[in-house]
Amino acid sequence: MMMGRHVRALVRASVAACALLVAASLAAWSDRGAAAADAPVHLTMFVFAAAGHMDVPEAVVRAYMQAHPNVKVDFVESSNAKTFPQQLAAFKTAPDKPFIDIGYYNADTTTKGLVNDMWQPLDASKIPNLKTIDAQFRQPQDTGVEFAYGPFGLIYNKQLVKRPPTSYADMWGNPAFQHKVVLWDYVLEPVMLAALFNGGSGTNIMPGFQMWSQHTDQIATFIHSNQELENALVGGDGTLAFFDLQIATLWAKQGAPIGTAIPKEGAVAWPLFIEVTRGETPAQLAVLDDLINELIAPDTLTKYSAATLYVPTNRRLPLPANVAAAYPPGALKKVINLDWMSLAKNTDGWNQLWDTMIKAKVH
Amino acid sequence: MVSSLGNARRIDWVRVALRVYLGAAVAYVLAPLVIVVINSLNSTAYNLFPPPSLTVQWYVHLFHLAQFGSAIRVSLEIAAVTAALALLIGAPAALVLTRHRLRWTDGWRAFLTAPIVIPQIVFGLAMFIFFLRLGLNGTVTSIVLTHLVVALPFVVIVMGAAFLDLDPALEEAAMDLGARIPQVAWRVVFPQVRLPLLAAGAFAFIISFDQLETTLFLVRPGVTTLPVQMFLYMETFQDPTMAALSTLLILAVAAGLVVVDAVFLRRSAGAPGRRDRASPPVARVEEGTG
Amino acid sequence: MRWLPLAPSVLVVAVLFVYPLLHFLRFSFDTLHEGRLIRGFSFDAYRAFAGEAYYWLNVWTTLKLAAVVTLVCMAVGYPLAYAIWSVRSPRARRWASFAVMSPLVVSVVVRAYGWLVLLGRQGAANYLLQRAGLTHQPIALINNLTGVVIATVHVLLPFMVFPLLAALDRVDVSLKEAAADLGAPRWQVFRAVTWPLTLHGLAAGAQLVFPLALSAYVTPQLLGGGRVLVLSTLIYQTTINVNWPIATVASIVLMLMTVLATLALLQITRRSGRARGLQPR
Repeated sequence: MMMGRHVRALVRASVAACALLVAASLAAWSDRGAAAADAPVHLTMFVFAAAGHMDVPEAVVRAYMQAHPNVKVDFVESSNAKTFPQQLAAFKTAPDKPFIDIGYYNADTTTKGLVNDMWQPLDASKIPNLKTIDAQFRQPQDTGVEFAYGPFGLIYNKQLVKRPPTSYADMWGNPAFQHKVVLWDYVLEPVMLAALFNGGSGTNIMPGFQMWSQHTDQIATFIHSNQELENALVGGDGTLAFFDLQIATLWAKQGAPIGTAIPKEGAVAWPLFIEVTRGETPAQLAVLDDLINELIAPDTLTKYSAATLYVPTNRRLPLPANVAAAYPPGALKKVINLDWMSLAKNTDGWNQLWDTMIKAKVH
Repeated sequence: MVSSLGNARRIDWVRVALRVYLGAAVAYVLAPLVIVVINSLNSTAYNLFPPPSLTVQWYVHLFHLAQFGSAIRVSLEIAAVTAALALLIGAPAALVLTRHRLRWTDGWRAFLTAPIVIPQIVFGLAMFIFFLRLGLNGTVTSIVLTHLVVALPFVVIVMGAAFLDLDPALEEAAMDLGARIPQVAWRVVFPQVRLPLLAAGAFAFIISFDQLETTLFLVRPGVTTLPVQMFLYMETFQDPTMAALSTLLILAVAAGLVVVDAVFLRRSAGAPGRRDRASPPVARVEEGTG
Repeated sequence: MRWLPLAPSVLVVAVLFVYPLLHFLRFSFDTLHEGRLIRGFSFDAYRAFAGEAYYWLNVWTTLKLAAVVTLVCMAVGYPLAYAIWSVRSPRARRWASFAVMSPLVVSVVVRAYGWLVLLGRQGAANYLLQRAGLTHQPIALINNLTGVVIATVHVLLPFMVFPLLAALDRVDVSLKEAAADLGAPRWQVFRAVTWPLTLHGLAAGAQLVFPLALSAYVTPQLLGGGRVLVLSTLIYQTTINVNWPIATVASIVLMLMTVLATLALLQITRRSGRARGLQPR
C-alpha cells in the first residue's frame, strides 16, 4: 500500500519532469529560429589583387557589417593564380569548411572551379538583383554571377611603334612586330584568337597553334607578371602585347609610353565573376545571398565600373563618364566572347601544346 | 711572379691583381642593389632607366601604407623564433653526426638536409593542406614550423662543417678529466664554434625572413609576412614603392652591420698575436678563450 | 643514448617535412581529366612524364644550369675568397665579406628585377660594353641562359664564398711559412699547401650551391624569358594550374636528382677531409 503510494508519486514526478523537458526542448528549438538570425556568421571573402578592384566591394561589405553586427567578413586580397590551388586543396581536404566563402574571380579560375564542381548554384529567388543582369551573361543554374567584363585588346609602345596595330593578326602575322610580341606564359588567348580567325573554333584551336608555331619568330619573350610586361614594353624589348586595356590606361596615365588599341575584330570580353564555394551553412548562405544582392545592385556596379573601367553586365546602366571616355565610341558594340569552359577543360592538353609547339621552338 | 723575399720596391703584381679582382667582384655583387636604390628615387613610375629625375615620392607613399609595419614586425618575430629553434635542434644534431660513428651517418645527414631540395611552391601547398587538417591554418605557429623545416638544413650543414674542423683531442681530454658529455659540449665544444653558430643563426634568420612561395599559402588576414605583402603590392601596382622598401631594408642592415662591427672591433682590440681570421659574415672571435 | 641530440631534428623533418610531403605526393597517382582532378590510383602521370621528351628537356636544362652555376661559382668564388682573405686590415676584410654577403638580405625577386634593368637591351651592361668598344650592337643578356646564370651565380655566390673563407681561415699559417722557408716560391706554396688544404671548402660550397641551383625558381623565371625550361618553373606552373599529378611527379624527379648529387658531393668532402689528416668521418 505504502509502496504503491510512493510509486505513484514517483511516476507523477517523472511524467512532470518529462513534460517539462519536452516543453523546454520545444521552446529551445523554436527559439533557435529566432536566435539563428542573430547568431554570428563568419565569412571569408576573396578579391583578386588589382588596382581599384577591392575598393567598392569592400566598402559595400563593410556597410553591410555595420548594419548587421552579427556578420563578420575577413578580406583576402591575393592573386587568382595563388588562391585557386588553395581553394581546391581545401575543397578536397575539408569540403564542409570552405577556405574562401565568396570571391571575385576571373574566367580562368571560375571555369576551373566549375569543372571541379566547387561553386554553389545560387537561388535566384533570394537575389532579386540577378534579374538586372543581362540574360546573355546569366550563368547556367546561376552558378555564380558574371557581373562585369573588361575589354582586352592590344597594347603597344607608343614611341617605338609608328603605325598602331589594327588587328589581332598583327601579333602573329605582321612582320613589323617580328621579335617584338610579348606573350604571357601559358596564357592561351592569343592562340584561341588565332584559331577563331583561321578556321578553328572554341573547342578546336589547333589552327591557332599551327599559326603561332609557324610564326614563333614574332615572339620577343614570355612574361609572368604585370611588372615584367610593363618593363618589357617600356624598355623596348617588346613592343606589342594582348592585355587588359584598363591597366594599360593606368600605366599611360603614370606617364609610360604605352598606347591601347581595340582591334577591328572587337575587344575580347574578359569576364569577372562572383562565386560562392560549396559547403556553406544555411545561415552563411542567407547572408551571402544578401551580400551578393548588394554587390550587383545597379549603383554598386556603376561605382565598380568607375573605379576599374570594367563594363557592367547590366547593360541598361549608363556607363560612368570616365569609362565611356576610355573607349572610342562604338568600340564596345562588338565584343568577342571566348569559350572559357572549353579552355578550362582543355588547359592541361593545350599547355603541353604550348610547350611543344611554341616554346620549344623559341630559342 | 715575385718571390716571398721580393724587394719591397718591386710591385707585388699578385696583390694588385687580387685587389682589382676584389673590386670587380664587389661591384658585381652590389650592382643590382645599386639599381634598386637608384630606381627607388625614380621620378617615373615605370622604371625608366636612367631616371629622368629623382624624387622621394615613393618613400612618402610607402609610409602611408599600413600593411607593411605589421608585416615587418611579424616577419622579424617569425625569423627570430625560427633561427633560435633551428640552432637549438640543428647544432646538436650536427655535432652528433660529426662525432659519433652511427650506422648510416651519411643517410641521416642527407635526411636532415633533404628539405633543401623541395620546390618551395610544392612544400607551401603541402603544408597548407597539413595545417588545414590540424586546424592550425593561418597561425603564426604554422609559418614558424614551415620556416624551421626550410632553415634547418642550412644550420646542419654550416655547423657540420664547423664541428669537422675541431680537434677531437680537446673533447677527449675533457672526458678523460671526468667531464660528462653535456659538460663537454657546453664548456669545450660550443665556445669554439661561437662564430659559426652566429653565422648559422644569421643564415636561418635571413632564410626565414625571405620566404615567399612557402608562406604565400599560409598567410591569413592579420597574419602576413613582409615578402608576401611585397609580392601582393607588386601584383597590384607597378611602381617603385617596393624598391623604396628594399632600399630601407638595405640601409637598416648596413646600419646594423656598422653597429656590430664597432662593438666587436672594440672587444677584440689588442687580441694576442695569432693571425686574425676573416669573418664572414660578422666579427672575429679571440682564439681559445671560452 | 649518444644519438639523443639527433632526435629532435629527425622528428621535425619526419613530421613536418616527410609526412606532409608524402601526403601531397599522393596526388601523383591521381589523374587530370578535362581539367577535373580525379582521385584514383594510376601511373598515368609517371608514364606521361617518362614518355614526353619535353619533360626530359626540362631535366637536362636543370642539370645543365646547376652544373654551370656551380662551376662558375667555384671559379669566381675561390679567387674572391682568396682575395678577401689576403686583405691585411681586419676591418677591410670584414667589410669585404659583408659586401659579398649583402645581397642575401635583399629579396631574390627584387634582385632579379635589378638584373633585368642592368642586363636589358638599354641597360647599363650593354651601355658599358658598347662604350668600351667590345660590341656594336646590344647583346642579348636576358631572356636566355646567360642572364639566368649571371643572376643565379649572384644569388648563390655567398654560399660558395662563406665555406671557402672558413676553409682558408683554417689553413695553418706555420705550414705556409715552413714551405716558404724551405725556398718554395709563392705559387708553389699555394699549389702544394693552400690549395689542397682548402679543397674541402670548395666541396662544401658546391654541396650548398648545387642543390640550391637545381631548385632555383625566381631567377630562371624572371631572367629566362620563358626560354630557360627548368623543373622548378615547370613545377610552379603545373601546381598553379592544379595539374598536381605532373607537378608531384616532377617534384619527385627533382628531389631524387638533388639527393643523388648531395650524396655524391658528401663522398668527395669526406675523402678530402681524410686527406687533411683529420679523423675519418
